[in-house]
Amino acid sequence: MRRLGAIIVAGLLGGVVVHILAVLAYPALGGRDLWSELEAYGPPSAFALVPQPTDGGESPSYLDPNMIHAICRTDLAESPHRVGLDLNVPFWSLGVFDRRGRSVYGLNSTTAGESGLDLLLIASRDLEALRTAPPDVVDEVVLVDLPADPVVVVLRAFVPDPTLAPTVAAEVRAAECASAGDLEPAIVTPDPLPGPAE
Amino acid sequence: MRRRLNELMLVIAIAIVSGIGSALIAMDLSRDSAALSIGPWQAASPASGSEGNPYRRAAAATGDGIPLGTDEGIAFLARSDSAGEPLDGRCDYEVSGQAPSAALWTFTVYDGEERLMDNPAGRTGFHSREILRREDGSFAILVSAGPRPGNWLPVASASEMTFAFRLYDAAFGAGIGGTERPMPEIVAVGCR
Repeated sequence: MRRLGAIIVAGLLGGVVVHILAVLAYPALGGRDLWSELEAYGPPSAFALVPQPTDGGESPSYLDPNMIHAICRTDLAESPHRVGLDLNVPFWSLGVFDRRGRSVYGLNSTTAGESGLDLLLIASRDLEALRTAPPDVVDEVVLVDLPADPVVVVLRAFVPDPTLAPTVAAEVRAAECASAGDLEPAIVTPDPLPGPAE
Repeated sequence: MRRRLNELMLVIAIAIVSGIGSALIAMDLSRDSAALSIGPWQAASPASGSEGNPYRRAAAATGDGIPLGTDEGIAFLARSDSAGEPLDGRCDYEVSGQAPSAALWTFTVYDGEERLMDNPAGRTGFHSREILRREDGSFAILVSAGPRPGNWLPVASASEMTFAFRLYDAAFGAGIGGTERPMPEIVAVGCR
């Protein structure tokens, strides 16, 4: 009987260790993978419209029918990405999420103060190089300093009336989310070497 | 020897069951406490990557749908009315009161399967720019099978319902406790 008690106590002590390990490991191992969930909607490094429930077919759960949603998956470890949009709607918002769906950056038309926006999503380590040799384009964009990881950009555009949906959808389709490849030479080779640029 | 091995297995089994089980329970409790709730309305915990205790971080790594960042807005879901009764498609509801200040809000009704509620009129919600208001700025939405004057939302469901109230560019962060914030009341006004 005493032996059984010892077994239970040892088991519970082991349980404390398992508990701590499970809680710490969960965000890295389990949980959701937003990147993979959204894979079906389109290729990476471009905005893809998320189908509205009214379009028929599968759409994500609890989608706000008053918004047109577009998503863009990008990997900032590969290159910085530029996000450009110009939406003539009463409200829009832009969120940047990590692979697990946690918010890392966000803004909306009220905080942005204008209809158009030009962002450069850039990994901190690339930002350092960019500062030492800033290309002209840096003056025109808002720099968003993020970890060098895959991110999901979500754009929401408010549709005040269903009849305006095609117009808003066209504006959302025109939004740009692309690898800022033209910045790479300046980032990769910050040294002002003589001779023609790469 | 045989007995020793059995005892060791028992210790390991107790460790795994109690450890994983208590971790799941703690994360579940943490999810509830991290949520902002005002009356029947519950907002998901703001899922910021690096802050918060490990339980909240673990709980925040779950979720579904397209996420809404804290700088974009806040989404509240209600699965029961203000009296605590589950929302039922066979009942009529009045959703009335004031909304917290926001650039825009939307009210949407979903069925029990997290899908937009199907109805012949194709109307699944209202937003702050189209709703009819009283003189003091308050409003009332009638979620009902039969036609109603004013902001009528037709229901063609006999199952559970979920109401969503989304505040875009809301004036309050999700970290601020909000019992005094005005959120609309959900009152059952009759059941069939």
